[in-house]
Amino acid sequence: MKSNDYVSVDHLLAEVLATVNDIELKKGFSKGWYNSRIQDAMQELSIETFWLKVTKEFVIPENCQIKMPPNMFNIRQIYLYNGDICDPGQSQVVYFKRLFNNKYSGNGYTAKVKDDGSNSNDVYQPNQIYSSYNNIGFSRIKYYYGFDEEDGLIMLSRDCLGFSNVRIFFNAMGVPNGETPIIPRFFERAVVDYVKLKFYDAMKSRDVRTYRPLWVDAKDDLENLTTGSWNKARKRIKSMDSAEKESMEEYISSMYHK
Amino acid sequence: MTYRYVVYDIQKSFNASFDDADFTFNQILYWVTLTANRMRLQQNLATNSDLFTSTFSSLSVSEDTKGRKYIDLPMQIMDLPNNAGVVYITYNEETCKCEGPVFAQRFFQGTTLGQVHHIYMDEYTKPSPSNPYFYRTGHKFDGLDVNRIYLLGVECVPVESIEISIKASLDPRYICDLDEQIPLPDEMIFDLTNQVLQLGRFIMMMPSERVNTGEDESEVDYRALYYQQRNANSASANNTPSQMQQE
Repeated sequence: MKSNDYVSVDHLLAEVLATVNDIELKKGFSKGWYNSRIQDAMQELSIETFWLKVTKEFVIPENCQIKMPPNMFNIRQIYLYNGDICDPGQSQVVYFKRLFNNKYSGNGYTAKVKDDGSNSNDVYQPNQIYSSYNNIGFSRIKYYYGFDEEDGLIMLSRDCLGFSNVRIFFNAMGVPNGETPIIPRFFERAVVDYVKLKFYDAMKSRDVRTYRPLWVDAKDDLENLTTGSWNKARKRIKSMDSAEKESMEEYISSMYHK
Repeated sequence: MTYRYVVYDIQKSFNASFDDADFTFNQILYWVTLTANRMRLQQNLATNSDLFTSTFSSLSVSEDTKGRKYIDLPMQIMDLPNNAGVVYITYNEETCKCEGPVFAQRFFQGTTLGQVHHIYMDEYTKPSPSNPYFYRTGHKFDGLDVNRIYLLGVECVPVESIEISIKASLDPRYICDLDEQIPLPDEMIFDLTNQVLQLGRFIMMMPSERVNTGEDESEVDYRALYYQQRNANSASANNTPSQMQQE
């Protein structure tokens, strides 16, 4: 489901602090500690549900390498385009190429299967020039990218230089650490329960007899597969909007009746 | 209820039971303050109300020789867990003083000297002008006179003054006016009186106070001791062997 409604950190803290009886912040945890746990919760939900999608624009550099922005994971789509950022003209989808490596930014690259046939003498590899043909004709894909985990680089093929800009569509792990977390209302209950659980977890090591029962209750509130708020949050964010669902049903049902 | 009223009452009670009780007015006053202090602490732990909270505005911020900002506490405070004796400390990030726009008001959070390294580990807990901290430490070598609060996160901000709210304890050394109200709820004066009487009774149970010998034993009379010793020595020197045999 989609929504543009968010709750503030203070709104959550007002509930959490009252629940864990730390309204005066005198139990050894600062407000920053609670903020940090809220961000942790959002980070986990983001990684699990892919709910937070972010678009970034870059001018394609000469070396065809773009440093993946911090706080991002899971590239969803990459587009090349000419023209202004507000008014993209000609555009092109960029595909992922397995084992593509141009880490040192030269003109060439290495890959197990290459589109230019430069591996074609390898008897263990398919004839790569011919494999690029299909029934329609020559279908060589010129625009592709690879990823270097070591340095966090997105490496574009040289042909991408034919365009001026690249638009990359990512998932983000909440906000960068240190910034105010963004919390959709869908997640309010899950985040409150997560922070509660972490508080009791920390207190457990100080006074296990008092806090372990509370920790067990908090764990159930959060993680129970039927009633737990975490699972509910995951289901909510992954479910489709009614309009999306109806459109999808109409589309699928019409496929066989045209 | 004023100090004068309560102390006279207690002194009269002592003298009614033991006419030889030699408790001075000041001594009882001291006991009243000590006991009141303890009762304030207990009452605060029981109710956690703001009955014993005092607020001070425009408290000047100083800087020590190492450039660390601090304030001197205006009063001794209750030493409660996690610095709960300090209810709040605020400053205004816009004006660097107490007063200023509400949106720029910042609360200092409590920490301890040992925990300071920990709060620097996380981006969210790290001290900064918008997320400042304080810790309380002694400024004397033996650490007994703990009366200073250091401020963290405002090192690069020219903070001039802060506002502080504290749970104050009473200093038995500074009672100037006997006609001041004892800072306790009236319903607790009975317990206060009772506890001071218990304290006096305990002291009177000591033998020298309990038994009236009719002598002033409060001070050692060195002159009398000297003559007593001298007489004893001369008496032993005058004793002849024959006398000693007779004895």
